[in-house]
Parts: sequence; structure tokens; C-alpha cells
Amino acid sequence: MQIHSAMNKNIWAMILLLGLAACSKDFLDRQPKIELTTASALATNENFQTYTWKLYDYISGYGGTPEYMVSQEYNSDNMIQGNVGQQSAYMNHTKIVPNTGAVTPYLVVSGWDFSYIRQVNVMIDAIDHSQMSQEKRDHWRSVGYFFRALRYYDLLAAYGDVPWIDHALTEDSTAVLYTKRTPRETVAQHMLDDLEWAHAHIGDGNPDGKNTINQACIELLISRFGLFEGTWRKYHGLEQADIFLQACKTYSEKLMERFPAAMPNYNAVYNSQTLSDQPGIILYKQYAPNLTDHAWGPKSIGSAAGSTSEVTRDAVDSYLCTDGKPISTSQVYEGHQNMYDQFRHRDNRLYFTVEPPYKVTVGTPNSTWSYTSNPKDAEYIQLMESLMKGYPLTLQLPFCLWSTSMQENAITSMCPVFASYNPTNDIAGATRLGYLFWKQWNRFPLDGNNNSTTAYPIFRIGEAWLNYAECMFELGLFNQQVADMTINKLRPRAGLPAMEVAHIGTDFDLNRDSDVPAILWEIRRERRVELMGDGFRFNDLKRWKKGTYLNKMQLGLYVRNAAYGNKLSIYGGGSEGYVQFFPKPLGWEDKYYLEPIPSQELLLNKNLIQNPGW
Amino acid sequence: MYAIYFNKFVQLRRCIRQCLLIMKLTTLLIVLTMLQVSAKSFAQQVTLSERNSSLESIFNSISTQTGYDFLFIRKTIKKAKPVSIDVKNAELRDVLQEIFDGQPLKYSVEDRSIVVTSSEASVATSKADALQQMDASGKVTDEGGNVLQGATIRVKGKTTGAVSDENGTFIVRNLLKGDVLVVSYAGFATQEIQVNGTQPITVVLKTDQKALDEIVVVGYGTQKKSDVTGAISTVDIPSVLGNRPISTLSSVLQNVVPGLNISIPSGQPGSSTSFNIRGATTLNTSGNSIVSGAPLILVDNVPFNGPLNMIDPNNIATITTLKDAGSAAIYGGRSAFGVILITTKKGLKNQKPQFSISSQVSFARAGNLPDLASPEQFLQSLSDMGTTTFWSGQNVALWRQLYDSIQANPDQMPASGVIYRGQGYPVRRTNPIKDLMGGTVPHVQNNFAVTGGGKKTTYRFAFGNTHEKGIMVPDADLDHFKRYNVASSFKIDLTKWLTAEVEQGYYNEITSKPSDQGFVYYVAATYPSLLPITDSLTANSGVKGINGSPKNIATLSGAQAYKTSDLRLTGRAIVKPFDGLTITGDYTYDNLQSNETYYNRLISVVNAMNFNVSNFGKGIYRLSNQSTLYKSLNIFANYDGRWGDHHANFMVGYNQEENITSGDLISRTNMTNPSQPSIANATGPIIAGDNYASYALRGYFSRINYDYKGKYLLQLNGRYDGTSNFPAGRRFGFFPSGALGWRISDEAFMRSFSPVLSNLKMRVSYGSVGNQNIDSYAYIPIMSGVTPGWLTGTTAYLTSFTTPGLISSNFSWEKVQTADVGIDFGLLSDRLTGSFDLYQRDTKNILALGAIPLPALLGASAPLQNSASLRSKGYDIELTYRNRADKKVQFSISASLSNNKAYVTKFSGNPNKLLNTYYEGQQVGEIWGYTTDGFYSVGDFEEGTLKADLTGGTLLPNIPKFQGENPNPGDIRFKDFDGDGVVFNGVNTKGNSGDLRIIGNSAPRYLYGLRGSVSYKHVTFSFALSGVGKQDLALANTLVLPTYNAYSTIYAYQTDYWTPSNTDAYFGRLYDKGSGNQKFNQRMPQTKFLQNGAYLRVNNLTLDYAVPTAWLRKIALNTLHVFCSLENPFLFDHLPKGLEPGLTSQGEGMQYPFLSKTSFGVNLTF
Repeated sequence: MQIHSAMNKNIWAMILLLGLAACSKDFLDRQPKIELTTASALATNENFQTYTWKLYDYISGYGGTPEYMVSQEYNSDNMIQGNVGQQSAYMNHTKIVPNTGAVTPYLVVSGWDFSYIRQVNVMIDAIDHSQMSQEKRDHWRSVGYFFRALRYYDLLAAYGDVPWIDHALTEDSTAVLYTKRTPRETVAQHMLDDLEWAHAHIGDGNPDGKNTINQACIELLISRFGLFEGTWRKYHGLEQADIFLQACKTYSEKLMERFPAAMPNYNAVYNSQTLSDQPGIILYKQYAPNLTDHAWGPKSIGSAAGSTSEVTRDAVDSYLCTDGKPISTSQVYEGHQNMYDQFRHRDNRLYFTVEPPYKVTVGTPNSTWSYTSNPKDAEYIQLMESLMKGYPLTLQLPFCLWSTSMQENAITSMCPVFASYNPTNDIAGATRLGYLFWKQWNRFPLDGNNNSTTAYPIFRIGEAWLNYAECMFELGLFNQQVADMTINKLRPRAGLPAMEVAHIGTDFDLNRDSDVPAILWEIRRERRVELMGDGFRFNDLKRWKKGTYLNKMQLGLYVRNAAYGNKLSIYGGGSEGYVQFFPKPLGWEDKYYLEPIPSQELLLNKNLIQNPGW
Repeated sequence: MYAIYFNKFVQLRRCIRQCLLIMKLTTLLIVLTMLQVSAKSFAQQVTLSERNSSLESIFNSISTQTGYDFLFIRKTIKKAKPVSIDVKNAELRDVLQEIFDGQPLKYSVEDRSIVVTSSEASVATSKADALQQMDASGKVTDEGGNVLQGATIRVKGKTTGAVSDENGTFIVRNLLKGDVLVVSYAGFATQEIQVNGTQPITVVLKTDQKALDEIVVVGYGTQKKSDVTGAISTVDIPSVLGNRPISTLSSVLQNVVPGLNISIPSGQPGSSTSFNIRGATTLNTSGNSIVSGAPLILVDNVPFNGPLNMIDPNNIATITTLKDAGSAAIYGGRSAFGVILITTKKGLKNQKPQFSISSQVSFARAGNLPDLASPEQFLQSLSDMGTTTFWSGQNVALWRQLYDSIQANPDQMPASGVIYRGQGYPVRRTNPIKDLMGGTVPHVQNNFAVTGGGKKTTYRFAFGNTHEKGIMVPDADLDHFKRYNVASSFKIDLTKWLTAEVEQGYYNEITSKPSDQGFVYYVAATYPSLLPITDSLTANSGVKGINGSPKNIATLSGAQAYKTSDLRLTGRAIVKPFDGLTITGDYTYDNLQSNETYYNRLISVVNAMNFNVSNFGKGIYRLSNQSTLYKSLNIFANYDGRWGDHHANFMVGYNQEENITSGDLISRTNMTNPSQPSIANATGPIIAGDNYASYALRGYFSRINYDYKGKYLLQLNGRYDGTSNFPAGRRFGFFPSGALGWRISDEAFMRSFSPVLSNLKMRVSYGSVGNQNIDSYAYIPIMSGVTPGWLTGTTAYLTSFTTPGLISSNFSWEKVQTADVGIDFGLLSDRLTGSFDLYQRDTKNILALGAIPLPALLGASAPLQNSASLRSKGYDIELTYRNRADKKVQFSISASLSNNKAYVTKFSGNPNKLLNTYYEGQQVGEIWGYTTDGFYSVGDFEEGTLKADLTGGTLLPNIPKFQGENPNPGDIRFKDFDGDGVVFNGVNTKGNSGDLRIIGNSAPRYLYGLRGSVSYKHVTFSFALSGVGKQDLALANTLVLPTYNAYSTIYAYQTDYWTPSNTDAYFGRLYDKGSGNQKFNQRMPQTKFLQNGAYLRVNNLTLDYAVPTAWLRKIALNTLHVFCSLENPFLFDHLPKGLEPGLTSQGEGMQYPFLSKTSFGVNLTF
């Protein structure tokens, strides 16, 4: 071997140098530059504020999938979704044990899903290692407790006993992961203790800005949860109901002091672009064009013939008449055989919730219309006009859809329009039962798209009043004074006289469930009507142990079938009667009071025991 | 001064190859050839008018006119007298006689060359002559007379030498008489020739059967193919590419290399593709899907990170696929799933500039579009489903009446629709899919290259451009792919021991597609054959607006365009301090820039199905930039030594890589001028974001190759590799591999078989490689910024963080162990060659999130853990047959076949074998489904319980039903295997899956490819086919099932559905707008609707005509090919029309089909 003479030392030195340059020690140590690590992310008050914004998304408002409020009502006797096969799973026995429950992109309210609990616990765990003052630490712990209780409320309502998890787990937390469920009593007590602690320690006023969690929000949650747990225990034969009813009473009272009045127009609660600074609004979800919008707009409400949200006749019948009496005893009720008559002299909230009947002559182009020769056909058009004075972009008749203004596009010639019989070829608003749920029907924004930006009222004083009225009754403390502080504050805007407790006797409503005391029946009626479509009814029925209400046929309008080309299905057959769409419910089963735990979870954790009946 | 003179302008390789040039002449040969040549070729016409010209300039003229080369030594013709001649269209023979008349020269004609030699007898060499320095020139050919380019000519005992050029010729200077030239060429036996005089030498090399010395590129070096012990396939790209009208590497390689799987999910020009070697490799990090991981791709030994579409196949010389650990492991932590080595074309030393130009034009169209049912069938299906009103109000019965009455009076047929009582009804038969994608579009491809080299240098410069229009609304030009690329390389021997090389590559591509392509597909896939396709439409309200047909939406919704460019520079130094030792160092800088502009224009249209005015698009304009900066350094040394029968090669090296990606994004809504979108001229809130990630790798590696007599082969590799993707302390791993080979055909006892069995080698390899292909920072619990839905105002988003994921404490390398046994063989003097490989690949300690199912109480996905194992087993077969080179008709055919099965061998966290995740023993691709057992009939229900519309009945007691569902007649009934009366999935475990069974497997099996060519004289026909032998597909979408969703349409092959009068149908009962029981009967994975995914695709047919050389000389060309090619002309498969295996759904089941192209092109060199 002969080394080239010209190959000098310099070359070797260069190669060596290159090699050395490459050998810098931290070459393989790469740290993220944009993402934060837990240590750096949760230190200051601002950090906690930033992290916590995400927790607000549990409050879905008009929701992603499914819509939080309306979809909950499809399970109840209030509403249906008028699609083949969409009958409540609790009615036609299609509710089955799911295989998995865990992490899904969308958190299902009643799902066996603890990802949100973890999100909150990560924040609570980080408080002790933060650089904040004790005051701020207490504040964020309070906010964390609030959100954790908010999720546990849904878990408790769905499953009864649920594992109580108060810190962020890892895969090594086997003692918790593979344990038994925590008894309902313990979970509920933890929730109440946490909420009361939070109430005492959360920052005063609105430390995180307008429309954020504050003392009032905690009061509302205790009011809601206290009533739920108290009545559940009472009607399901569990002990210590009064602790929770008492908590409901105490905190509802605090809240009622803060919020002496409600928004004067029921429609405005559901059809406003913002609820900022409105009387009685405790917390609301804000939407804004180009930022966050929702799809619960005119398109969803009336578009696809036959898959609309509809109210049942049973729910329509629960609205009082203008003499303050139910339809069974009212002097002004004009009967159910004709929709015009049925809707006359009723609680205004009925018109705000269910599209009233009308008929017009549609012109050419079909964005124009004129009254028919029959003045009756115009009655509710004019009524809505007067009720909507000042609110021109909501709940207006005649119904029209897909347009950027109220008059730009095809007008629906009448209400009701049935999906199965539509000779007038009306484009929107066709239903199965005749009662279109149009509570949130509006034109915000005016872009003809399905991008709605109506604000959603999450916590409002109306609910607190109803909670209070009911818990006072359950505590044996309901009287005229309580009625005046609560229900009678809701009545004026409904166009109803005040509730007079002394006048409510066993014959006040002939259709009353005889198990329920007459006054309680009226309190529950007020709750059902005021909160129609807001997602409370199914949980209410469960806590009252009234699942059997789902055994009622879900009927619609009373019709003469000949007027509809004999295309409608009449309950019980015959040429006239109530419209039916879904078959007779197969009957409530007691196991439905508690949801089934997913089968995979039972396999993974032998200590988990399935809820009874599943 | 000595020289061989060739015509300066005419270098036609193919012609020269056919020449038989022999320069050591014998008189006999001269006579024979002269007779032969004069008989056929002397009819050449020559026109000359010269006065006292040098013989050389006359040669030049004749050469130009006739194409004949003159071969002579300049010294010889110095003695020649000047010549005067004046002839017109004279015979060449006569002209030659005239100019050689009285000269001290004689000449002979060899095919197309005229060899000029001295007519004087050789003068006896004196001593002075012997010491006189001289030059030797000559030509290297094989036994068939084909010139050999790149043969090495060394002077024995000296450092001088040369390399034969494109014509096989060489010159070696400053020789002494008696010097010995050693001529060697890969695959041929080395020859030694003594230099005795100045006569041109012709070296005829004999093929070396023993060596079969094709050189194969392997990791950090090259190897003789005969010495290879790993599973390596090499593809010569120019021969595979041929003249096909394709611009991307992935299309070239489909089913060419057995075991190299290429998925092209869309036929859209510029769509991305992916490579994989030998199927399923690992689990994705979410642990919820098995992935076919990508191999490491290197261009000229440096990892290539850009999209593969960027590489112009015209710049590639070979592609080598390293399939087993034995050969791939030297590349360390990124090579676990194989390596693809791309070698680019380079220049050659002592080569005159050679220019090549190719240009082709194609006409492309969709070969396979879905077939909509007729309007009659569509309207009939609506009434069969019980739909009375469609969309927002069309009365179905009325619609049918209107349609029928218009058909009866076709002259009154309106182009769009009829408006009746305020509701529009479309009534004209149309084909909206064809309207969107039915066009024929041009594709153009041009390439230019020049290569060459001097004594110490080589160079290549190439430029190419491609412009492919997509078929989606070609007039709007939103769907296209354009690419420009410039590549150059330059190499110089600075000293005898130091060579420097610079390589540069620049690519620039633009892909564009309609911004709301998903919506366009939705409209196209779901609208019936009644959809108006006019430009404008009158709405129900009487307002005239843009028709919302798929074509118009695609045209008006704006574009999503990506501009990607990549600049890559490599500097390399090759040092050879002494014989046998080579040290190579290279440094590469690669900057990939990608820029996206996206504009989803807000358009107001008249909805073509309901005639209402509606808006599409969000008016968002978005700009984003992404940059990847990659730097790599390689230093490695090779030492090659031979000690008697022992031969060894040692290699040791160091590698480091650094990769930084960063990007930003900004978007805004509300354009003040929608036709000129920009961030500055928008009024919506500004939304911006950024990203950054970096990783680094460092490895030390070594390899030893040893062979004894070239028969017994051994290779050992080791690599110590570190990566930043793991926590400190767990970053490094050592990964060894080894291989053995035995050339059985070289054994004495095999000699008797050699006439038939010309080559036989057995090889076996085993290795373990770490896989570090996971996201950067996966071991650090991080919180990323997110935008919550909660707002505190109405003008800006809030910012929040994600919750950090769980990080496992045991977190390290996945290990991939591959065993490979292979045979290489050659039969019939290697006319038939082939190889067969059998392998098993175990991926162990797979890092996967959620791979271990943990209780939902955890509230998070299970952390990344080394928790699963996967095994794939399979084989690759490769066969090639070429007929003998002396046959008139030349043909060759190559076939490849590969097959594998993969199993989950460990999934420790799922002892219950839950079916919603993986379980031990599972075969990859398993499809679980129900077994179809006909339809429910009216007789299955208690009499009198069914309503008039055949719903709501009570099932007879012994009839099974699906859990939680209430069937009606016409619904699909499933087999109730356990006889419990309820069809369901039990607890969804392998052990208790209720009535669920494995009904098929979606993994493609028996992937095959077949290529071949036949040529006769100047015409060559070639073909390429590929296919899959077996695959099951559980497809559920609009194109497969009728009215899959509300308002989906039906296709021509979906009209056989159940109705009370058609109970023997293929599809089950349909419900209004896809609702009702359809979801649990039609859409359930089940035996009946399992599709057969096997197919055979004719990828290409090409007819090539090589214009004969004699004509080319006149226009100063070397070669000229004209060709016509059909790309994707035929597909034989089992899927419904409009669906192609391998393509992914672009929306509602609809795909962007592969394009069928007819192309014409020319290809020339000079």
C-alpha cells in the first residue's frame, strides 16, 4: 500500500474536525417551542384563566352533536323527532347495552365518559404547584369544583352510583381504575360539599370577566342539583332527601335576592343575539358570526319535511288557558277539534313554542302572499305580529324558509302541513303530528345559511324560581307567598292570571295524575311549560319516578282524515281523530331509570356491577 | 498527434451498437467485408467539390453526407497528399477509389465505418521506437458487437487509464511499447492486451458467467450482484418508464418490484402517494389502525423528505429496494420498514455533450365514472320508498306526471325545470357527474438533458416540466398539477486521490383543486339524473341565479392551491488515500417550502334540486406556509482487500441528521372584493397560528463483507443509533444484522448442470432494527393551544390549552426483526432469471396509544406504550425472460408476485379480546360482519299485525330479530347462529361475538405485475399490467348502497331493491330518505354486500417507432423515437361502475378516477 504523497495531514485534520463538530452533546435534545409543558403552562392566574376557557365547552348550548337541549326532549313525553325509526329508545325498547362508552369526540351527556373530569382535575391538581396567592388558588379551586360538579350531575343522573375521582389519574392508578362504583350518597355529598366550599371561596363579583362562573352560577347549580337529588331520593325511597331540598332552598333564595326579575318577553330569552345584561340571565352561551355559530336555525327547524322537532298533543294540552285554568276546566277553552280553536285563549308561551295555525294565498313569485277570504286564517298571523312587536326577525307568520330576509323566499301556505299529505307543495314546516316546535326560529344572522348566532340561556332565574317552588312544596312550605315569589313572576308575560293557591283543589285539573297532589301538579305544569324544549323533562320524569308517562301515545292534531286525502294515520282508526305517527310505546321499564354501563367497562373492571335490569 | 475521427454531429448509439468494428485487420477479413459491404451499401451517393484539400476534411464531408465513420490514426494520413476532386452524386465506392488513388494508404469498409491504414509494410521497430511514447486507441464491445460504455481500461502497473465512452471507444495516452492494458467491465471477464503498435484495438469482452457482475447500489456503497446476500431488487428506471405518459415515480413503480406496495389513493393530478414494503408494519400511534409504514427513501444516499411526486422519474437511473433487515439495517432507526435507494442519472467521463429532448402530449379522461339511474327509475324509487315529498316539497307523484308529460312533448322541454305552484321540478334527463368530470384534458410533459464529461470531470444538467390538467371542470382550471424541475450534478477529480462532487436539485410544483371539493362530491354523488346542468336557474321565487350544479359550485367556489418547492444541495468529497480505501464525506442541505392558498368563496346559488336560493362556502381566505429544513452529514470509509481466495470489504461510518419543520397560518373572512381575496382586504377577525417541530438522529455504523472464492458469502452489519424522539437515557440502541450466501452454481459438482442452470445462489439474512418513526416530543406531556367554543365577546376567539396526554414511564424503541431466505437463479444462460424470497417480519414493542384498553375512568387515551407486536409473513417472486440477442424478433417479459399475511402476535392489554381494538391472534384486515339470511317476509309476522304499509307488525315467536330493532318485511334478515332469537354482537369479544363472524379480509393479497416488450426491426411494443388477486371490501356508501343517506340518489346498478312485488331482490327494503330500518339492515357489514376487490389493470400499452439511423444522419440526429401510448386503457374488476379498487372516497363514496390517457410523443438525442 502506498499512501498518496499529496494527501497531507490537513485533510485528515479536516475530517477529524468535521466529526468533532458533529458531536455536540445536546444535538439529540430537542424541546418543543410552541407547545407548553404542564410545568410551564399552569403557573399564574392568567394560565389558569386560559386553561379554564376550554372547560366552558361542556356547556354546549345549542350544541354540536347532539343538540343538548332539544335532543334530550325527544326521550320524553314532550316532543318527538318526526323521522321513521326515531321514536325514543325508551319507548320502543331499542335501548341496548353499549359496547363502549369511553372517549368519543363529542361528549355524550349521559355517556360513561370521564375525560371531562380529567380535564378539570388536571387544573385542580396544578393549583398547589402554582405561583398564585391563596386567594387566587381558592378561586380556581372553586371554579374547578363547579365544573366537576356540573359533569358529575349528569353522571349521577344517568348512572346513580359513579366512581368519585378527585384527581387526575394515570394508568398506574389501579386502585381507582379497578374499583367499585362510589355509592350515590357519597358522590352527591361530595358534590354538595364542593359546591358549598366553592360558593364560599370563589372570587367576588365577576373576577374572570362578564359572563363567567361566579357565585350566582354556583347557587343556580346547587338549586338545580339539590332539587334533583332531593326529589330523586324522596320518590325512589332513598334517605336524607331533605338535606338536598334544603340546599336547594337556601341557595335558590340567595339567587332570587340577586335576580328579582326575569326578561319581560319569553321569546327574547331564546331569540336574541346576545343575553348580555338582560334581567334574570345568570349565564348564557354567546355565539358570533365568523367565530362560533350553531346549526339550530330556521333551516334545521323547518326544512326537511318529516324530520322536524315536534311537540306532542299531551304537551300542547298542558298549557293553561287565559283564565288560568287547564283545558279540562277552563271556561274559555274552545275545544280540540280544530287547531284554530285549540290555540285560542292559551298561555302565550304556547305560541312562542309551537307554530300556530294559519292559511294564506301564496302569490307569484312565491315570496309574496295575501290573506285568504276567511278572517279566521289571519287570526294567528295578526296575533304573532302583535306579540312580536319589536322582534321583527323571529316567530313570524306566514312561515318561510331558506331566505336572507323574511320575505325573500317561498312562503309556506298554511299551518299545519303534513309530511304525508302536502298538496300545496309547501316547502317548509311540514310535520308528522301538526305541532312544529319553533321556539328558536329566527333570522340571526341574515345570511340565509344555517349559521345561527342566537345566544343560548344556560342559567336563568326562571329555572331557579321553578326549582324553589317545587322544593318548597316538597318541604311542605309552599304557599301563596312562595307562589308570588316564583310562578307568579312568570305568569304576566305568558298572558296568564296569577296562580291562586287557595283555588287549586283536586278538581282543578280533571286530567291530573291522581298520584300527584293538585298543587304540586300545577307547579310541575308550570315547570314543563316554561322549560319546554330546554332538556329538563326526561330527568324530571326520572326523579319523580314517572317514567310511565312515556307509555302515553305520542299523538298529534285532531283531524278529519278526509281533509287530508286520507293519508294520515288516525289513532284507533276511523275517519277522524288524533294523528299518530309512532306506534304505541312498548312500555316503560324500571331499568330505564338508570343507564346501562358499557359492556367493555364491565370486562375491564370486574368490580363494576351493571345497573339493575340490564 | 493521434486521433480517432468520428463524425462530430452524428452519434447514433443504436446504429453504432449494430456496427461491427474490428481494427486489427486481417487481409481475409478486409476482402470479405469489402465484398459484403460493397454489395449492399456502396450505393451511397456523394457530392464533392474540393481543391487541394486535406484528406481529413474530405473524410469529414463524406462522413456528413453518408453517415459513414472514418477510423484512422492521424499520424498515418499525415503522409497523404492533398486531394482535388469534383463529383456529383457519385457512388461512394468510386469516390473512395479516387481519393485513395496514389496515396500511401489503404482502406476497408466495416459495416458503417471506413478504416484507413497505412499501405506501407510495418517498419521493423528500432530500439528508439520501443522507447517512444505513444497513444493507444480502441473500442470495447461485447461478444454480440454491442458497444460497452463505461468499461475501465487500466495500464498494468501504472496509475493511468481511461473509461470507454458512449461509443465504446477509448484512448490511453503516453504508453510504452509492451505496456499491458487491463480492460474490465462489470459482468464480463477482465481481459489483458499488450500494446504493440498504433493500430486501433478492438477489445471483445466475454460475459463472465461466474461473476454476473451487475453492480448493485447498497447502503453506503455498491456491491456486485453476485455477492449480494440480502433481499434486494433493482429496477432500471429508463427501461421501466419507457415512453409512458406519467410524471410521478409512484405510477412508474406500481407492482414492478415484488413486495414494494404503492398506494395511489386518487387519480387527481398531483395527489399524494405512499410507499410501503411488504405490507402491514406497525400500529399507528393511536393504536386504532394498523399501518403500512413507509420505507426510508434516499436519493444518492441522502434521505429525501419531500413529497415523492417532486422527483422527476426522467432523472432517475435506478431504484434499489432493500427489503430485509440484512441489507436495510445499515441505515438505522428510520430503515425498520425497508429502504428505497434512488440513484440519479450522472454524466460519464470522456463523453462529448449528449443532448436529449423528449416531449409528449396526452389526452386524459376519466375511464370510469358512476352510472346514475334514469329519471324514471329514480322517481320510481321515491314512490317505492314511500316518499311523498322530496327535499323541501316536491310532490313525488306530481313530479312523475310532469316528467312524463314533458317526455311526451320533448320540444317543450325546458332546460332547467318546471315551476309548478311555487315549487321547481327538474324534468330533463342529465348527467351531472359527466358534466363535472366528463371532459378530456391535455397533459404535457417536456424534458431536456445534457450529459457529458472530460478527462477528469462528469456533468449532467436536466430540466423538465409537466403540466397536467385535472378532469374536474377543466375550463375553470382549478384542478391541475404543474411541476418544474432543474437538476444538475458535477464531479471532478481534483487530484489522483481526491474527487469532489456537487449535486443540486430544485423542484417546484403547484397543485390546485376546487376548495370545497368535498361538497362538490357530495352534490355530484347524491343528486339524481334530473339535476339541471344549465349555468343559471330560476328560483321558486322567480329570481334568476347561478345554478347550484356540481360543476358550477366547483367552478365558483375558489381554489385550494399548494405551491411546493424544494432546494437540495449536496457536496461530496471522495478521498482515496491508497489502493482499496475510499473515504466519502457528504453534506446535504435541503429546504422544502410549501405554501397553501385556500379560498372558500361565499356563493349564492339556486339549489338545483329544490329551486331555493342558498349560500355555499364560508368566504374564508387562508394562507399558510410550511418549511422543512433538513441537514445531513455522512462520513464513511470503505476498504476493499483481497488475500488469495479471501476477499473482504470493511465499511465504517458516521451519520447525523437534523430536521426542523415550522409553519404559520393566517385566515380571514368577509372579503371586501370576493373576486380578489386577500388578508388585507378582508374585514373578518384575523385567525393565525404557528407550529414547530424538530428531531435529530445520530448513528455509528459498520459493515463487513467477506467471501471465500466468491462462493461463500458473509455480511455483518451493526449500527448504534440515537434519536431525539425518545427521552434521555433511552435514546440509543444497538441494532445488528447479518447474512449468509452460497453460490451453489460455482461448486464443482454443479458444473454438469451449467448449460441449463447457469446461476444458483441461496441466501439467508436476519436482523433487528429499531423504529423511531413517531412524532417529535411524544415523550413530553405537552399542551397545545386550542380555540374553545366559548366566547366572552363577539369579535375574537379565546385561547386555551389542550389537556396534556398521559405519558408512559416505559417508552422506547420499537424493534423490527426480519428473517429472509432467498434464492437467486438463472436458467438457459441466464435468459431466464429470477429470485424468490420468503420472509417473516416481527415488529415488537409497538408504541401505540390506547393499545391497552383502560377503563374509561382514566379519562384519557391510554399512554403511548411499548405494548403490541405484529408479525407479517410472505413471499416475493420475480421472474424475467429475455430471448437470445441474435434473434430477429426481440422480446422480454418480467413478472412479479408478492403476498403476505399479517397477524397481531401480542396485544397484552386486551386479554378479553374485545373486537373494537386489536387482540392477540388477529389477522390484519379481518372483517367482522353478520351473515345475510335473505329478507323478512310477510309470513314472518303474526297475521293481521302488519299495517297497510307493511310496518309495525309483530314477529312470529321463532323468527330472530336484530337487537334493539323492529324489522319489517323486506328488511334484511341475519343468521342467528346461537339461536337465542336475537341477532347481536354479544359482548363484542372474540369469545362472545354473538352472531358476528369473520366474513372476509380487506388486506390485498397476491399482488402481481407483468411487463414485457416485443420488438421487430424499428418497432417496439410494450405493455405493463398490475393487479391484486384477492381482497374483500366492506364498502358502505352512496355508490354501493341505494339511498344510503337522506336525499341520496340511486345508481343504475342499485335499482333491484325489495318491494312487495319484487321480493327476490338484491338490495333490501328502502325507506323514505334512507331512514327507518335501513341503518341496521343495509349498512351493517354483512356477507351479502361484501365486495370483491380483486382486479387486473392494464397500466400501459406503448408502440414505439425508432426512426432508422440512415434518415437521421441527414438531420444531424442520433436517435429519434416517435411513440403512441395508452395509459390505464383497461380495468377488469368486480366493483360497481365508478368505483376502483385502491382509490379512496373523496366524498359520499365517490372517487377521483384514474385517468385514461392517450399520448403521443417524440424522444430524440443528438
